[in-house]
Amino acid sequence: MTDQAMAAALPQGAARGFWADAWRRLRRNKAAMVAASLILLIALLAFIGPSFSPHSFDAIDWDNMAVPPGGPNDHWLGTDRLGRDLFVRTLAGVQISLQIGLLATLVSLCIGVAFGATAGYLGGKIDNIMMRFVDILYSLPYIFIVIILSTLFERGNIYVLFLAIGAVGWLTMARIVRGQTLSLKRKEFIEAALASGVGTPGILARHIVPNVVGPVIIYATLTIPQMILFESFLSFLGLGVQEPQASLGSLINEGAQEMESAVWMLLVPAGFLVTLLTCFNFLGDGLRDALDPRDR
Amino acid sequence: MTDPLLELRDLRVWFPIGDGLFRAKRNLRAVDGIDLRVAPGEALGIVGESGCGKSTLARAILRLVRTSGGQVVWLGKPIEGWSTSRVRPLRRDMQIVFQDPLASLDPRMTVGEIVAEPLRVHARDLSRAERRERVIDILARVGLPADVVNRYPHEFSGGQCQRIGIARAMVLRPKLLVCDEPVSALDVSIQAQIVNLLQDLKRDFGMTILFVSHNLAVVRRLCDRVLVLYLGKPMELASTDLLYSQPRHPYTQGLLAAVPVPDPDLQPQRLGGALGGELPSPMAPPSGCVFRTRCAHAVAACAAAAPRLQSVETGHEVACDRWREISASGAVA
Repeated sequence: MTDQAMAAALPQGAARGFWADAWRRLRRNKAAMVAASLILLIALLAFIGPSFSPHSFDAIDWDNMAVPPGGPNDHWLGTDRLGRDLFVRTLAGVQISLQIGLLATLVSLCIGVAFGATAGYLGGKIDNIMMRFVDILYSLPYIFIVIILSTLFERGNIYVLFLAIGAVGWLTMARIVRGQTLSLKRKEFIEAALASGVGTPGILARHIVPNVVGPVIIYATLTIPQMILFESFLSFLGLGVQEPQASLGSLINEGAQEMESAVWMLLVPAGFLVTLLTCFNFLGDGLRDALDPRDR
Repeated sequence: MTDPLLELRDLRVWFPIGDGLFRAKRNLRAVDGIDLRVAPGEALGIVGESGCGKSTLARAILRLVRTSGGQVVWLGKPIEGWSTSRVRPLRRDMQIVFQDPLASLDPRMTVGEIVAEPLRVHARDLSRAERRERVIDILARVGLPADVVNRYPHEFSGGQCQRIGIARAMVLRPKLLVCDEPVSALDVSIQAQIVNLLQDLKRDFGMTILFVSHNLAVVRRLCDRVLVLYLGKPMELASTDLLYSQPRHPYTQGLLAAVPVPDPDLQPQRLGGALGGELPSPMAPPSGCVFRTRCAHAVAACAAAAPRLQSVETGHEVACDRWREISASGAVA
């Protein structure tokens, strides 16, 4: 074949990478796109919304205690039992929950990917030791670890919370990445890299990690809501964010106590939580469809 | 023979099977005692059935699998037991082309990155521009235009992917190119193109080729000498002309008889020499001559001792103690 004929036989059009392909598929998925927009909208609202309200999250309005939403005042979503504005408090809670969710996921992502890829690629005894360590951590009740960690440090320090939740959440990630790595390392392109003399760190960084990114992103998207839920659970138990700070979990906790007399105190933060969780799950599903290599 | 580029001395690759805790450890003898000298500039074919250890042998030479015994001697130096970092500088002179063209290219890398990878390891002092120039040079040499560098492997056909794989292997101008069934995953018309390309590259760069294949026609076209393997052991080693015109080993004769002939009038008489039976398990190879269980000429003595390669004539060795009787009986199909 001549060079001209070869050039003609090449696929035409702009070079399309893997990411461009995935993005195109994701955009076609309406549920995922709506979910992504809603998440962005809620995040935006959480960070700039409170500045539109005349109230701050911890200011007490003595004239308007436990008023329902839509009253003749400027508490758009009502107030809690202490007269604090529920709109601002909920958005502050969303802020904290989102931050915890994202940061804890990031922590678990970094540890999990590094740990899993190393264990899977090196294999043999090292893999065995590393994964048995994961198994042992798995078998410990993780709520226990978090309780110990949060009593060791100042109670309610949310950065300790990020750390504690992330340090517990990386186990599953490590297993997923290890599994992917095991199947990748038998591929011929890894052998080709070995034959070219690429060292172990180079193979991990340039070949293994980029190829596990798909499943990792999917799992991470599904981890964020888990982390938010876990934080809410801790705050509900009183181990999480402390007063006057609010997270969605602590707000729901307070709201649940007033459920019979002032149901809006429960419904407002719960509505935000449910919306966020649903959106993250839809987005995760959409990403799985867009990135799954079996689809191609 | 001039000083060999590569020499194998009694090379063995055994894979342990079973965990050794609940079941007894056994060994799968993938490569079991290969002696070979490869001269610079020669093209050596390695043929045999599936599972005879062809690919393992190729990988053992490149140290992609661990050897269990024997020696790989590269340019007079035994490199067995060398550390990874000590072998690394040698790797620029020995490269490999794989069977599955698409699987051998990282799906997340552009063609440019893939072909440049050996340069990143072995020619670190090259600037970006120089590296790019070398990549485009070699791509042109394998018949691909320069604009492929920004594309991804999945955009190409099998033959084009194999050209990319060859470009990656050739970018450092290696002394030895190991081809592990490089054409068996391709269409027949594309196979011819790739074989021609390898021939051109061999002629232009004077490199040595180890060509692993089960396709006897392709090997005949490309190679100067051929090694026939069976259950990890050498059966026959001869120049291409001698092997195809006067095969001495019953196994080689069977392999050649199994090659389909387009003329139906010729087919029936050739079928007589075709191989029957199944390949025995490499975990429990037959005693003595490993081929005796499928050999039409086997006698009791064949079970006693494993025959070694013996010279038939200049440039023709066969591992069969009965080759004289077999030739005399006119069994050659």
